[in-house]
Amino acid sequence: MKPYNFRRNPKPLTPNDIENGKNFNEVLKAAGKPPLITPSALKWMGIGLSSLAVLLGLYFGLSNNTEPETSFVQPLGPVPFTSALINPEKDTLLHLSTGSTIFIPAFSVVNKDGTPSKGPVEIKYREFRNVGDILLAGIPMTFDSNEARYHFESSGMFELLAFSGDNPLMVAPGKNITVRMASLNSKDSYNQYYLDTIAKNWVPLGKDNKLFYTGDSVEVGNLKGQNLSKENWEPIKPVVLNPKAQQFRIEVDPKEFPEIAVFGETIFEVVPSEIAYDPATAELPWSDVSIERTAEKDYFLISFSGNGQTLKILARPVVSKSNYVKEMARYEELYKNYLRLEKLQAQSGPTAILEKELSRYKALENQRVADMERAAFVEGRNNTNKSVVYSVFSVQQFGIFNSDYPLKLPNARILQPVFAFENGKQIPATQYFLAEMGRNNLYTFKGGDKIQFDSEVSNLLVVLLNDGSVGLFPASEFGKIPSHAREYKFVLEKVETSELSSKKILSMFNI
Amino acid sequence: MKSLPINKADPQREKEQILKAQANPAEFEPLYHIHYPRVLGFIYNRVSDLETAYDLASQTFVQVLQALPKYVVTGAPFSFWIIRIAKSVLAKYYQTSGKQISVAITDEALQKMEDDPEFSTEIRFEAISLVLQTLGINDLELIQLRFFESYSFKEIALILKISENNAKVKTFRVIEKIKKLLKKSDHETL
Repeated sequence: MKPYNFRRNPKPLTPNDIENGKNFNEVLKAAGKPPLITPSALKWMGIGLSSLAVLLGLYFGLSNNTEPETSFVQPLGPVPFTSALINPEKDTLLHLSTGSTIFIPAFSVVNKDGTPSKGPVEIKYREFRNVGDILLAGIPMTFDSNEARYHFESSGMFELLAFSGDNPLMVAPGKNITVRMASLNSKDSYNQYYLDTIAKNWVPLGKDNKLFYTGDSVEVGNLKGQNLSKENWEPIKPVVLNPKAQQFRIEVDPKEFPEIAVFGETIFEVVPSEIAYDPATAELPWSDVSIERTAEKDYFLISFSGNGQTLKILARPVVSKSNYVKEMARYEELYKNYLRLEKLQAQSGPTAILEKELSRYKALENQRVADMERAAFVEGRNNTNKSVVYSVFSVQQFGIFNSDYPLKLPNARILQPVFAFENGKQIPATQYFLAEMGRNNLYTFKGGDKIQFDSEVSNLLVVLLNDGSVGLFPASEFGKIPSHAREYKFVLEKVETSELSSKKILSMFNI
Repeated sequence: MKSLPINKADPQREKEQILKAQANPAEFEPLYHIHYPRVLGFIYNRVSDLETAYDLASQTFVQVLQALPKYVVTGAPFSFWIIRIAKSVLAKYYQTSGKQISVAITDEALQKMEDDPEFSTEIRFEAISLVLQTLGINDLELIQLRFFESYSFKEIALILKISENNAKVKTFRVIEKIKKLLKKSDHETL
């Protein structure tokens, strides 16, 4: 079938057509079911409440709600946020204990009415790095697309929120907050998604944008990533240095960084939140200085190394006040040239040079992935503090983001489950989840659904029962399911929600 | 089909009305009457019949009302925020219904393409509809917005949430692609 149906000269809409379609009362009525800010919406949005304790109280308070069919799981326990107070009028770089970083450019957080937030802003961030965290937080792990349901395998998820007091804030239009989420997963087959809490579905954002760190160098994994794999670089607009900030000078090869070529002298200004930076640093006898691009085109990661030490600083090129007019003129000229080349490139398609560059990046990328996988294998998968791969997200609205891969249900074994506790008492499930060891995935089933699982892998079952309790069926028990069974009684270990932790869930994989 | 004029609401009054509607959804009614024609037209250009357009326009405004408390009043026109919601409603409709994506083309729009200095070539409905069948949805959307609905690059940028320059560059690339395909189809016809 052809993808499009072209309607030639359709009947134009008349004023009557327009009036006939209007029905504000119906719209108002439909919009009120359910209203946007309800407890159930809050359950998903995780915002608007003054304390986490109150929020958790609400989670549990709602857990007995028998909502009609929902694709969302119920939160089971706390996954704590990390909080930081920032000055929204300055660039801020936050370092997380997981190795992730959040870069918040100045004036990128606004109040609900669009005015810039002035007071201290509380940034709240949490990551969901394994199925235990995901289950506890109640993050939905299904994705509906083209009438098909997919189940996510996760390379990592995070939630990023901002508050002024108790009031939730927004990302300013046109601004990007960059989150580099640390991950040990080096595969490039994942996609990025944003959780739309209104449509109750994940919104695909495109292919995951990965950064691979190997030793001192960094490569961008996704060749389609912004700012890379192209020879025509948009020049950076000069800004005058801030006399109160710290600057240093380093020599930059304009061939390697043509976007900085506009700057006659290369002065880098340290991002104010880089508190680790000591101005004396630039005077130290470092043996090597390297510059790396970041997801924000105006900012660079400068690495000083030597004597077994490495210091990384986020900085942006700036100009002195006396040179500003001269360098702006140069910028205008280079920007015109940039636009001309863009147009030319569009006309002639990818040039041979570009293709060569792409191929070089591809070869490097493949090598890096292979290195990463070898390193991960040697170091073991539990070493989460030595992340060498980042998923880079460009955040334009606060909420929950993931780097996931959509999977279909496994179809190796299908049987009807019956759930019971050790005393033999059967108890219906409201929903249950199947995780596969080593995949960081969750398959989501409704209470009465037949279970589908791959008997060749190590599985773990987490069951939400209609008395509000949770049952676990450990990986070690799956092997006891007779191969011919069409129905099976899963004898569950009952766990009180207050005792449930990510560690507890993951421990059930140990066989 | 040419897009309907951008909403004629006074920006200051519109802002005040939005803030009122955020507190009380019933206050959205004046905004509904202002923006309904544009939304209906946008959807009608993208579906096969008026009844479906009515239904999707209603769904759009339901979502607009539900999302309104999160709306941030900025300098950007409110109408484009609504159009972006209409776009997502349409995308969901096509995802779930499995229907063929419908695109309205008028002879006036074809003439506009023909007259555009970037095209400067004869555009026949039969040929262009064959060529457009080969485009991805994002490329087709640019052509639809620019030539079939006469949106400016600034407006396209607001609808697609990209920069104006990016909208120009992307549209230019699609035009080049179409020109090549039209040329190729001419040769093949010969």
